Amino acid sequence: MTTDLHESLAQAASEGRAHFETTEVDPVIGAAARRVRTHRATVSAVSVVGALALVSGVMWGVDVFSANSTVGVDPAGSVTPTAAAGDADGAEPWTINDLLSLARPRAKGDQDAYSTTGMVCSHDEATDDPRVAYADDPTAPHAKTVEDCKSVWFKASAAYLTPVRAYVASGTSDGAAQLTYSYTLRNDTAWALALDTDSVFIWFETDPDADSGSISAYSNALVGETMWAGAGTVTALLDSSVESQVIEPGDSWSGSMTLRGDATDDRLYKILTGSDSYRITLWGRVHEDSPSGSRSLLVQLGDAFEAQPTGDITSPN
Amino acid sequence: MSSWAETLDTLVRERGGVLYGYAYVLTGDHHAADDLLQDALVRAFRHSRGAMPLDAAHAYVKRAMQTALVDGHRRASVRPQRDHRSADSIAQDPTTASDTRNALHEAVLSLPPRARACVVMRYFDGLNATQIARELGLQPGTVRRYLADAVASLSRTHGDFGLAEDDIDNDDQEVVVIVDVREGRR
Repeated sequence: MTTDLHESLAQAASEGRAHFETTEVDPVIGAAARRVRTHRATVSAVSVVGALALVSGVMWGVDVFSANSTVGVDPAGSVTPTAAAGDADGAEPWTINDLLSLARPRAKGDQDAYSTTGMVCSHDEATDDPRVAYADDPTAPHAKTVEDCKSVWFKASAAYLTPVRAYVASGTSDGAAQLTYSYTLRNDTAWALALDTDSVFIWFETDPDADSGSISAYSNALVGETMWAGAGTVTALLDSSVESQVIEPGDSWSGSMTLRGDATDDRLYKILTGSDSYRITLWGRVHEDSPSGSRSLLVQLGDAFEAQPTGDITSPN
Repeated sequence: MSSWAETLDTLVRERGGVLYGYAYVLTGDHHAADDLLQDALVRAFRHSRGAMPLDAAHAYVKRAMQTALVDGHRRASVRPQRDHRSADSIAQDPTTASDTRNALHEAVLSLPPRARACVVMRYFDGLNATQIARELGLQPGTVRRYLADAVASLSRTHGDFGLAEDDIDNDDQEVVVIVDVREGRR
């Protein structure tokens, strides 16, 4: 190896080291510690708000179900929720380009071992609705129709390791339907993962093995409201508004989401009682600081729940 | 003091000089090195709840600095504030060995961030192209191209400075790879 170049760089390192040793280290430590504490500060109230945002409702297709479609989320006690705004370091917008590059978009209908049939519409404005809308749907004025949607398909990262350890799907039929999806995410990686809880959304996919051309494969997708928690915040795609939930290696975090359909809209009921298969996947944005670097990913959280309904709505699981 | 804070304190006190030196190699500017090290420290400790071995923390911070440079780091504060003359335009007029070394470092600093990071990891850390690619999330061929371009640029102003052709990609060279725990699973 070239000695001159190595020596040049080594000399620069020595100069830098000498410079550092003439300075006080306490301010360096103090400044870093303050920023870290700001990032990690535990604010229970914010955590609750985040949980409420996570569970404030889900939508079926483009229709809002019952007004009381709240969902219980029970963060596992083994994980200390962290919260607080003011993360000067991590406040970088999550743009559609990030999604495109990280989620590895693929052609409609293209599936492989690591993929799931997920699709959102690329959007130009933060207020754009990433869902696919049925045409002329008054409940989703900002959603795009299939024809107008610039599709962004995403699939799971093959390298990601947060399996869903448990889930329960159930339903009751009295003209309405309900499906509760409970999950426990366990961090099987060797490093801490930070999950943006307000970015978590559920993807409910009917006819998941449909080939290309099947609109039902995505137009019936169900996306949690948390994907667009408020106007102007498509949280799965844009910047998170709450502090990340840190899941240490080996720790778990649990939650659940309930999908409800009332008697006036029986699509959920029909799926639960019908013969078509469906698939449920959970998605969210995760930040990791692995030895190979820091990165943020929109990833599928754990394995998909595959169901082949038998017509018995009591428990497809 | 919490465990992470203790690790941070110990790391800066015991390894701060080495880490800062590395930041200075990457940036060539004391203010930029300050920022780069600060940001790397925050990145290393913001999600860590338990105690972290000193060596692991050291590796984390170093890696954070490398990736920050490669990413072009979206924050201006850590973007090296160098003059951006090309290596070709930096005159070679060394009168002493020290001048030569300074001039070489200046030339390295004039390289684009990705090429600069690759050069530092290759010729300072001793990693080969494949290892650099793995650490930075780049393709090995991309790293080789960065290295080849960088060496060509440096050679134009500084001769071959003892560089052998196979120095660019000596994958047989034994080096220490700190951690590689990424794996696919589904």
